[in-house]
Amino acid sequence: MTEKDRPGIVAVYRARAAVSSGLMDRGPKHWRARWRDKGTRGLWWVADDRGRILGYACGNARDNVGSAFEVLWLPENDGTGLARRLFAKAFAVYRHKASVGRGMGGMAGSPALSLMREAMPPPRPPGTVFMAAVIDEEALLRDAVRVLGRRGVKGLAVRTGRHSARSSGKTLATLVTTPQILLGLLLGIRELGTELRSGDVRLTPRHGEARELAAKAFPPRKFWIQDGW
Amino acid sequence: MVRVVIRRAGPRDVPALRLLYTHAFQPTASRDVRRWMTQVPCEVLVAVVDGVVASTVATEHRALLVDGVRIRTGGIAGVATLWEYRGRGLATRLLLEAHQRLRARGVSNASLFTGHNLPAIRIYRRHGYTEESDWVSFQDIAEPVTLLQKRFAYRAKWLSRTPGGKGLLARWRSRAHLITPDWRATIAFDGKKFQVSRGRRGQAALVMRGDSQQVIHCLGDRLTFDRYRRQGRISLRGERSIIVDWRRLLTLEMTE
Repeated sequence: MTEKDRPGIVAVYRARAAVSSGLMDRGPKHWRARWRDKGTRGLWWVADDRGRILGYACGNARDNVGSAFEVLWLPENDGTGLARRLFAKAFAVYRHKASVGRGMGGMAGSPALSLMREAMPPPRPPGTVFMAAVIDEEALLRDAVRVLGRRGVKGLAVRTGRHSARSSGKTLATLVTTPQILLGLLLGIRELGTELRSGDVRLTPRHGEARELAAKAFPPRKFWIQDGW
Repeated sequence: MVRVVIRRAGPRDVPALRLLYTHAFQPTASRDVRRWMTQVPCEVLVAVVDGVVASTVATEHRALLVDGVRIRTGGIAGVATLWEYRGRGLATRLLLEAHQRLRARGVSNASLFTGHNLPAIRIYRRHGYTEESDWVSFQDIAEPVTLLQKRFAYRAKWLSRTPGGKGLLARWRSRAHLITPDWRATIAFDGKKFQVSRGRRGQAALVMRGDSQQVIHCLGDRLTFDRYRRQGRISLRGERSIIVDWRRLLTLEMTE
């Protein structure tokens, strides 16, 4: 990675964030700190096509163990084998730079994880977990309405306990659930079909049109958080 | 009457925060605390008990993107309590205050990363946090003995700065052999530093056997250590008290 690749890296991140859930909103300050970070120097790797950055891997080396902690690629390259090649190249570099070993972590279910399984020995049993809590139901419903608006969902009301909100247009269906499950659905941690089957999400009316609306509101998303804090 | 004050931390609290983070996480320098407080948009709260900064919780102001839409989240971080002040509900009071401050900013949710094996997970559950997704970690260690040397150098440094750790180091005079099909190592302690060498050297009070990957997985992870032991994937030979201390030394879990 050279200095001229930086805008391309940021563009890859933004493109992935636009169709994913869980990536952080990163401003110029974040990226400036990343470029300055001595711990990752020489451990960036990019895939480019005639100057256009298609994907990148970023790592660090602690205790001389090279770790890739962020591997992202343009959504248009899903399924083209680019990510696999990027992984292979990055790991080869880390193996060369860090003699003790190589490592990688990722959120269970993230698309990068299946590639890791191919390239690495079996993982250690999960030791770290991401936990979330709803602290303000009304604010959560406001968040939900903004996301539904981005997804072009019209006519869906969402109710959690005493509070409710609805997307634009005349109400065609109502989804009732707990705040915690709504948060999970929003972030892509929970899957709508599973919650409907378990009864933790109720949809009225229950006919196909309402189901289609709910599916459009909460499509399958892989929770793809990169940053631990 | 014990007086507890919850307040926002300032520059004068850096030495106290350094001590708290050292007790809870790893050896931390004051400059690391200052850098974190200035570079990350966050609010650090402290609980002061009779003038002693005894516990802390930080909230990082972050936003998760959902299809490009910003969902603000309070990233809970740096939850730490001095050893001798644990179990008094200080972290609970700090979390309540942190949530209240987040609500005042219009934030709908709070999130955090924690260890499955940490006692703090119970506090988080009480406050409505649920385990949503595991972080999976892959490792391919080419030089396990070198890794052990680095990790045990870290252990000597960290344990010597924490109350529970000091006691463990004062007791630990045993030599340990790690035996795997691929490599063998001897770990000895001279009162200050661990010596990790290749091969079996001298008589060991403790012998740990297992697959190379599985032995490495146990570093810093009590749940994995206990699980592998139950499953017979690692075995230990030695006196019971030595095994108990070895478990603490390897997994860095001082309390249950």
